[in-house]
Amino acid sequence: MVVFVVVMTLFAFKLEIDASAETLLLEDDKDLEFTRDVLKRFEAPNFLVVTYTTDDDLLSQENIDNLKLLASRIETLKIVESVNSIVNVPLLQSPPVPLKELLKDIPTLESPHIDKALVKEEFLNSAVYKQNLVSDDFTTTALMVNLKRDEKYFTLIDNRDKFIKLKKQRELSQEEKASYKKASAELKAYRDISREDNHQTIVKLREILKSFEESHKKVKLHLGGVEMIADDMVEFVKYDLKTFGFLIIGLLVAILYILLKEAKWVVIALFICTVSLATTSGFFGLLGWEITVVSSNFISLQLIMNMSLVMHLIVTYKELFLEQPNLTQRELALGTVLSMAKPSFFVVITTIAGFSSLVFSNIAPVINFGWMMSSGITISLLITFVFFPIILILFDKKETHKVVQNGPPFTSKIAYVVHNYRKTILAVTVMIVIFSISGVNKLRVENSFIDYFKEETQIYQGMALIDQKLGGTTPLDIILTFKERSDEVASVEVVQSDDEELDSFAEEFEEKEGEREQYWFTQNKMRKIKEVHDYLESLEAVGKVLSLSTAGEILKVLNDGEEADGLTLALMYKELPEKYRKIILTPYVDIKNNQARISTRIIDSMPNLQRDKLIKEIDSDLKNMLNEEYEEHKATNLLVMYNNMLQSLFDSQIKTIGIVVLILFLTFFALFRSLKIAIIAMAANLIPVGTIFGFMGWMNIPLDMMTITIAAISLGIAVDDTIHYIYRYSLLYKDSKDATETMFRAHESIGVAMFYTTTIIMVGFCVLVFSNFLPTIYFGLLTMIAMFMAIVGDLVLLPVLILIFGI
Amino acid sequence: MKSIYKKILALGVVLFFAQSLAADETLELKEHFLKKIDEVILIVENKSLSKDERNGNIVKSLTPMFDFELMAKLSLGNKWKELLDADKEKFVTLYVERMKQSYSSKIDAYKDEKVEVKKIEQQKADRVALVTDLISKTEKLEIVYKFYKPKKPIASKDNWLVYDVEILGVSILKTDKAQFKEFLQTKSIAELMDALAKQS
Repeated sequence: MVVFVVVMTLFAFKLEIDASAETLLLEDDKDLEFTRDVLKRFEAPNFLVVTYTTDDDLLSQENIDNLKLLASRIETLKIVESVNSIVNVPLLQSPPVPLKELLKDIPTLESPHIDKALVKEEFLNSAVYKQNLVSDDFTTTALMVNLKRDEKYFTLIDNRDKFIKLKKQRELSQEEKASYKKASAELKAYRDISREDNHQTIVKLREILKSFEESHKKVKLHLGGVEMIADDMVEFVKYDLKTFGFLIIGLLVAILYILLKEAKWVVIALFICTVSLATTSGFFGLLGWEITVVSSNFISLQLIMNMSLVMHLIVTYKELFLEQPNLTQRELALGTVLSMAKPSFFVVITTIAGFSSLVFSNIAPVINFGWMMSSGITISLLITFVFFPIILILFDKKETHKVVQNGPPFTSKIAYVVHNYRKTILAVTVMIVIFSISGVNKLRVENSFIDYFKEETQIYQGMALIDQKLGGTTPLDIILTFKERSDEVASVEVVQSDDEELDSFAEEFEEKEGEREQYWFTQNKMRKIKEVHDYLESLEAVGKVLSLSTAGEILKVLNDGEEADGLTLALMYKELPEKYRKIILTPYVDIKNNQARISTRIIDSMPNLQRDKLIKEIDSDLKNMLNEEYEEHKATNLLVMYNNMLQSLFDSQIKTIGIVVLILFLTFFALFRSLKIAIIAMAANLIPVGTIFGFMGWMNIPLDMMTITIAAISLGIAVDDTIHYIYRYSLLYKDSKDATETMFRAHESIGVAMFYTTTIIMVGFCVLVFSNFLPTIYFGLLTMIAMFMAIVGDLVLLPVLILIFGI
Repeated sequence: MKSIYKKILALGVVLFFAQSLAADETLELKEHFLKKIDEVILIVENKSLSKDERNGNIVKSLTPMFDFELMAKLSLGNKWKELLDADKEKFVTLYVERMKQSYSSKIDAYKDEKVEVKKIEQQKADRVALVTDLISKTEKLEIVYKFYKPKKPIASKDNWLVYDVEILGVSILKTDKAQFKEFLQTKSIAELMDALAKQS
């Protein structure tokens, strides 16, 4: 046994954390596939943003030198491809010259004889640069840190995904299964390395920024970008895991000692919990399950639930000891375990039922979390019930104190209230139900990356700055596909000499593949793109919009205010130097597939932003704007995918709550063999849990990736006490047959254990309130409230219902 | 001499002369072209003319050398066959007018550039491409003039006519063809003509 545990512990060190965008998304989200495809084809680079804020003139020589220095330092990092800043971006309008001349030699801020006043004008007014490269108040500028394109990553993903697609169509052969496993392993290995690389890059980048700020006091720097959000979330998760692991252990030790007053119990409890945790972690490490943002609280959760199990055993042992002091240690130990076996088993089953609802969510990390918790609690049960008696038996029987020494326990007072204020309790319950239902109606599913972090954190400040002054943070792309009627075959009717002449040219003017590119840029397309572009810009929630229309606007300026005609557009496409093409053209057009990309960023910090509504609104407006037959549109990128995930989570949770309730109901029925009890038990649990959602609705706390899991978890844990209470009550009732007396006795005995375990759980969860990651704080807070309501429900409402309806 | 050798000799002589004839013809074309260019340059440099007069004169001078009707036809592709005769005429007029307007601004940018014919390409008997350079003080811009010889000579037109111009490899005709094709996917020819009219 010990060997087994040791081995498992070793595997525990293999446990890893993964917070890439992948882990936040649906397993087979078509939009994810599309987004990846789009990013690949449009060669949109991955980038980080460094914001540079100063009170001085941004274009002073000092600042220019600073920016150059900063850029050069950043460029030394391995995965950085290049850095764009106001120093090296092409200046297309300073001063405006005819395109032909411009293309010969495009100036930058460093070109000789450059007129800085004109440059400032351009930065503030050019379609490309305003609110993108510089803020409107010209105090902040952005350095775009372009990261090297990770072709290998895309290749590995494609490799793995083709098996996933195949799997859906048919059974894989042995060989294919092996290849799939290999491909998945390769992808994971590579992702681990590149994640670490990315993280190190960000760490080094932060160091560079910090040291720069220290030597240049007038400058304020921030780091931003989607890559960074992912990295920071991982860091927060890691930090939480470490900190809270220890914090909770510390707190639990304290509480246990206060409640049990004997060091030995504390040691036993701690030992069992640690062993369970180590074994579980090892189990996960063995299976290669990764901890994600969603499941980052699993250690805290498992500790708490395990403590609760152990606590029940300890209290029962003490009771047994005091009732039958002449039993041997062995008899006491076994007696404890056996009497608690059945209810504990059902407790675990119901907790698993709660967590298993998450398995139906279709979102990888949530499913994973469901499995993790279910297996975790099972392992806890096994280890607790194996080790507890063993340890006790190994040690001598010792005198033990009554759990509560002076006078009747606190819970007896509650029993008194229950007995004398039944009507009041019922009335309050009804009010609470009304409160909950009305609150639930106000619930909304919403997420904002910026709201995940506290205002004092670097990441929040960086994001807020970029959001408000540099065009928004969360990317949303609209892809326009221009459908073409296929080339009609030139007819070869020779009727008049006229036509013959015409036909002899047919071959020359047949569309040649290589030439297609330069003739793709027709005025018609540009106008359509501009229409969509301008519409998107007009939306309040949308920040910066970039597309071919941006290039079109610049051309217009250079063309004396006239729209560029087809010839000019074609010429521009051909003659534009590659490095500028990469900035102005390539990310916004994929000629081969007849697509234009309009890239926008959403102002995430806009209050009352409703993302799902926004996406739907854009979709329907575009439908009206475009001619379905020739122009298709599709929204993609992070905003869409994340929204999909949340909506899906919401939907699946609604569906699975039903399943959980059913399973719990059946469990109650199986355990107590009475429909009445099952109904009463469900009521006593659904009402407290419902209160939480009512609370969230009224307090405008949005449902989110983490809070959405609360329902399942709370239900799963809340029913534990109910099971214990009803089980004990029915045992006691068999003897006395007096409902009221039974209630008092139940409150005095199991009620105490319930009270203690709930206290443990509440204290455990309240620790989460110290996290830097807001969803974790909400999670801790709300679960605490749920547990409190649950114990109130079990010690107040449940007995009232039992007294009224009888068992 | 054996009759076969006679025939071969005759063939050889004919071919020799045909070549020279062809060579002569293309040289003649080149001369004619350069003369035309000089004519146009004179018009452009004549500051006493108003823009409209200038443009009108340039068109008059170039019309014999350009087969606008063919260009209009080719830009519409197969749609041309669907037009009524009256509309065909109208379209050509609008097309020419539009061309005039488009390139008027480009003519405005003219500053003492010189035109040099650097190569003559003849892919078929009735197709010649004059590859020219527009040379300014700082750069050279390659412009290709594509000529064809109509089977039946057209009244008031030269023997060799321009049907397409390529600037830096971008064909004006192909550009127009792509634009019109796209436009006509969702709109009628009448609407296209209205749009052209608006542009002029």
